[in-house]
Order: sequence, then structure tokens, then C-alpha cells
Amino acid sequence: MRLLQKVNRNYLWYTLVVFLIVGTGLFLSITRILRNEVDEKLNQEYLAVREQVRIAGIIPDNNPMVRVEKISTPVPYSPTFSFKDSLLIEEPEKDSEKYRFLVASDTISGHSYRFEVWTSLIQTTDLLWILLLTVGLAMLLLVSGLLLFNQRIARSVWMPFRQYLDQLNRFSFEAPRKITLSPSDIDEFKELRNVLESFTAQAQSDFNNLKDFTVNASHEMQTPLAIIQTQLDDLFQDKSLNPQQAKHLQAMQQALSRLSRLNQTLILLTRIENNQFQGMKQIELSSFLAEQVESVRELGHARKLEFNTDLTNVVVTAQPELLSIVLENLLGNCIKHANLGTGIRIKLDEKSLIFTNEGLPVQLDPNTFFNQFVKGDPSSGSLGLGLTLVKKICDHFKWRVTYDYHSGWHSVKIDF
Amino acid sequence: MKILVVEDERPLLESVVGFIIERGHVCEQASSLSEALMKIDLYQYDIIVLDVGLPDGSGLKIIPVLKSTHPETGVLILSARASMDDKINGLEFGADDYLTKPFHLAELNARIRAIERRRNFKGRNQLEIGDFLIVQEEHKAFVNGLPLDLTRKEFDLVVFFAANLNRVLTKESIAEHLWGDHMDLSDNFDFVYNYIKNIRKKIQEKGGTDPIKTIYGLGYKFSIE
Repeated sequence: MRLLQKVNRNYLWYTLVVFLIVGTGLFLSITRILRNEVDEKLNQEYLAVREQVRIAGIIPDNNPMVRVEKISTPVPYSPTFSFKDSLLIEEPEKDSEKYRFLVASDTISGHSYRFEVWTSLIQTTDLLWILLLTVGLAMLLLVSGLLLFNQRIARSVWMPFRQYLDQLNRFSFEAPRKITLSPSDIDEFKELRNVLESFTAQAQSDFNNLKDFTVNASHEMQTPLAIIQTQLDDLFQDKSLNPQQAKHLQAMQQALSRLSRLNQTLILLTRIENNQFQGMKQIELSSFLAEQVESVRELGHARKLEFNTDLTNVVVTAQPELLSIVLENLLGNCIKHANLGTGIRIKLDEKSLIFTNEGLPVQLDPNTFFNQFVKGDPSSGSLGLGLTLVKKICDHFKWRVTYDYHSGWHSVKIDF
Repeated sequence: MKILVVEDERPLLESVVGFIIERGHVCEQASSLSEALMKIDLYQYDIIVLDVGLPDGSGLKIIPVLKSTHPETGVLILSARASMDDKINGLEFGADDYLTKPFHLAELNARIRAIERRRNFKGRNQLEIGDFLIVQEEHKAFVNGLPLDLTRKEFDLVVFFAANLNRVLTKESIAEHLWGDHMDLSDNFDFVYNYIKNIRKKIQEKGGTDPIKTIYGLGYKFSIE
């Protein structure tokens, strides 16, 4: 729910309650006032008629709203006097109309009389409704006007907020420049702006420090690794090594190779993230790919794998070194994981490139398939970074890469 | 050949220099940019193995000086900055090749040999080792005068072995030489074994003696003793 909606909703409820209370109060009090007025009028008329009867002794019959009867039953000691409401059905229209009348009995000059003085309430009812309607209309106008007004104001008042939100949405930690938000003259937004600016600047600098640290640490590791490697290479040449020592050396060499590759891959990943690869080119993918397949064909033969390629000429925009890393990794994966003596299918068309191989099902969640350090076989010497690298590079090229497993067939698909 | 190694890390410098001397070259060393500049001013080298990150400046600064005084000298860059744009940078500066740390000494040797071969293309372009003859430009190898039917990678491997004659090559260094740093085949050295098996078979088919010795637990060695 939008903020304005929420506020308005509360506002409307409040208005409704106020309207109901005020309306009811108004209705009740006006009814009361009008009734008093009517009663006063009826009373005056009654007094006039009684006076007429007392002085002239005539029963007036020219007024349909006044009825005077001589009655035989004697009126009790004090005169009676009461008001009543009644609905009368008027003939042609069959409308019912509200009337109020006064019933009184009195003894004048020794005779008992019964008086009825009537008056129509139509005017007072009309008046009441007009009053209520007017009030209601005023309320409605007020409320709708306020809502409209509020919306207008909100639009301009919240403008900086929307701008900030928009800028934050487009904000990237990796951006070279700090975020700059347009100033606002509203205190709350001034505060928000200050907080956002210092917060993002801090996050940016932390991020960059961390990144620099990673890159520097990785680079600093290269030289010690090189020292260990060259010393190991020398040790391997020693003719007096016994089998036990050779075994130790080999274990060291394996660990060192893994460490070196891990380090280089991390550097590569960081550099891709830092956008440090220039030289995007138009590359004819089918011949590029065919060359890569050629270079690993013998590797495949070692596992008796057949390469079935179906390549269409497609030109893509990519960075050649990174592209070859993607292809090498995907081809390498197929070769490593395909069942012995099966086939590897590679299909390239205008929209996508698909690598398919037959293999054992992997115990991996397809969602984490491209995550770092995820491997199908935890005991393998693999780093679990190959597909992460593939994913990173594809992201860099703005390609989409997906993995699918279907009844024995693994396939990795790249959509350009 | 006369080779200058410029590297500021003492242990690395020593093992590289020791290795180059063991391979039969004349080798000198420098551990800073100024020392290197002084040496190239005084002497002439066939190849300079150059570390980029030196304490008193980038090793790349040597290349322009070298190109103006001794353009025939080959340059092999060693860098801890494992990045392709550094590589391109170095090559654009006029370096012949680029090797990222950490590296195998066997790989360093192969690169030095490749530079040597490219630099003296008029001269020794054929390599004779015992019964073997390797003609690099044509990607051909012969045993007892008979051509070996090697695939490209097999030929690469034979050249790699020949460059590192009598040295034990680990499976790791062979795998890296053949498939580079980014192909994660580490857990599968059967691939290396397969290549070597094929090469041996092809040599024996032509009546040659198998020059590749398996050094148990360590790797392989090419020797003709």
C-alpha cells in the first residue's frame, strides 16, 4: 500500500466517523428545534381558535386544519392538552404525508369543546433534508478537495524521495564516482540525503578496499608460490630421492598446483568483476569454437568420446581470451564428466550454444550449479570454480547461461 | 646463450639462475631496475628474463632502452600480475613472451627455447637429439629418418620434452603446458598418461627406442642415454 493511500484511508475513516456523529447530532437537534417551533405555532393557533369560540361562540369551519366539536362528556377539572403525529394518505397521489396535530379539550361558557389543530410537517421535513444534504455535500467537497490537494502536494513533496530511490536503484558499489543526490528544502529529506550519501560512500570505500585487498593478496601470493614451485621443480630432479620422499613431493606438487590455479582463477574473477578486460570484438563463433574443439579432440579420444558438432555461422560480440576460457571450461567439463565412449553434442545457432553430454546424474541443486566452490564430487581435485568462471564471463558478455539435466543428459546452454 | 635474469626475490632468482646455468647457458643476474639498466648498458645478452614488479620501478621500463641499443635481444616477462591486459601490455612494449607466476622451470625453459628459436630463425631450426630430429617450423618429428605421425598436441609435448632433456617433468607441468591454466583437468592425469602412451607407440612403430622414461611417483623424463 502506498503511503498516501494509507494516510488517506485513515483520513477517510475519520471523516466518516465525524460525519456520522455530527450528522446524527445535527439531525436530532434540528428535529427538536423544528418540533418546538411547530408545537408553538399549533399552540398559538389553538389559543386563537379558543378565543374565537369564547368570544363569538361560533365554531369556525372555514379552516380545514382546525376542527372544533361540542362534546357531551364533561371535561375534567383541568383542560387536556396534547400533541400527536400522524400520517395521512392524500387521495390522488396516494402519498403519505406527515402531519402533527394538537388535541385539546376545554370548557368554555359551560360547554365542553374538543379542539384539533393540524399542521403539515412537509416543510420542516424538507428543511431538515436540505440541511443534512448541504452539510453532507460540504463534507464531501471538503474531503475530496483535500484528497486531491494532498495528492498534488505529495507528488511534489515526495519528489526528492522518488529521485533518491531512483538513484539508489541505479547505484553500483563498483561505480567510480560517489553518489550525488539533489538537495531538498525539506528537513527530513535533507537528513535522509546526508545519511544516504555518507552511507553509500562508506559502503563504496569498504567495497573497494576489500576488492583491492583481494587483488593485492592474490598477487602477493603469486611470488611465494613461484618460489615454492621452482624449488620443488629442482627437488624433483634429485636422483637420490627414495620412493617415500617422491610421494611427499608429489603430494606437495598437487597441492601447490591447486593453490596456484585457485589463486589465478580468483584473480581472473576479480578482474572480470572489475571490468578490467577491454577489447570486445566481433567474433565468428563457429570457427572459433571449431578451433577449440580441435584442440581438445585428442583429450576426448583418451576417453573414447565422439564430438558431434552442428554449427551455424554466428557473429557474437565478445572478448577473445574470456570467450576461449568459457569454451575451454565447458568442453573440459563435458570431457571429464561424459560416460566413457559416449558422444558430446555441440549445437550452435543464431540464438544459443548448447553443450550436451551423457553422464551420471549430479547430486547438485541446479540453482547452485554455477556457485563458487560447488562440486559434484567433494573429494575430487577440482576447484569448483570452472562454472562460476563461465557464469561470470557470460554475465560480463550479457549472455544467459543455464544448466539442465534430463534422463541421463547434461546440458549447458548459453543464450546470446 | 647469454641470459640476464632480473628478479628481486632472492630465492626465485637463485633457482632460476641455477636452472639456466644447469641447462648450459651463461647466466647473469640483477635484482633491481637500476642494476638491470646498468648491465644492459655494459653487456649484450641474447635473452632477458624480466620480472615486472621490481622495488625501484616497473621492469617494463627496460624494454624501450633495450630496443634502442640491442634490438636483437629477446625479452621474456615474468609477472605476478596474472592478467591478460598486462600480458598484452608487455607484448605491446616489445616483449617476446610472457609467463605468469607461479611457473614451472620446465615451462620457463620451453619459453626460452621458443624465443631462441624465433630469434635465430635463419640458423638452428632443427633439433637433433640422438635418433630424433625435430623440425619445428614444419611441425614434424623424425626418428631414424622416418617421419612420426604426431598430432599437434603430441608434437608440442615432444618439443616440450626435448627442450627439457634429461629433466624430470611432473604431470602437472605437462598438463599446464598442453592445456594452459584455465582448463581444470587436474584430477585427471590419465590424459597426460594417454598422450605419452600414444607417443611411445608411434615411436616404437617406426622402430625407435622409447626415450620417455617413467620416473615412478614423480613424472616423466626424456633422455637418450
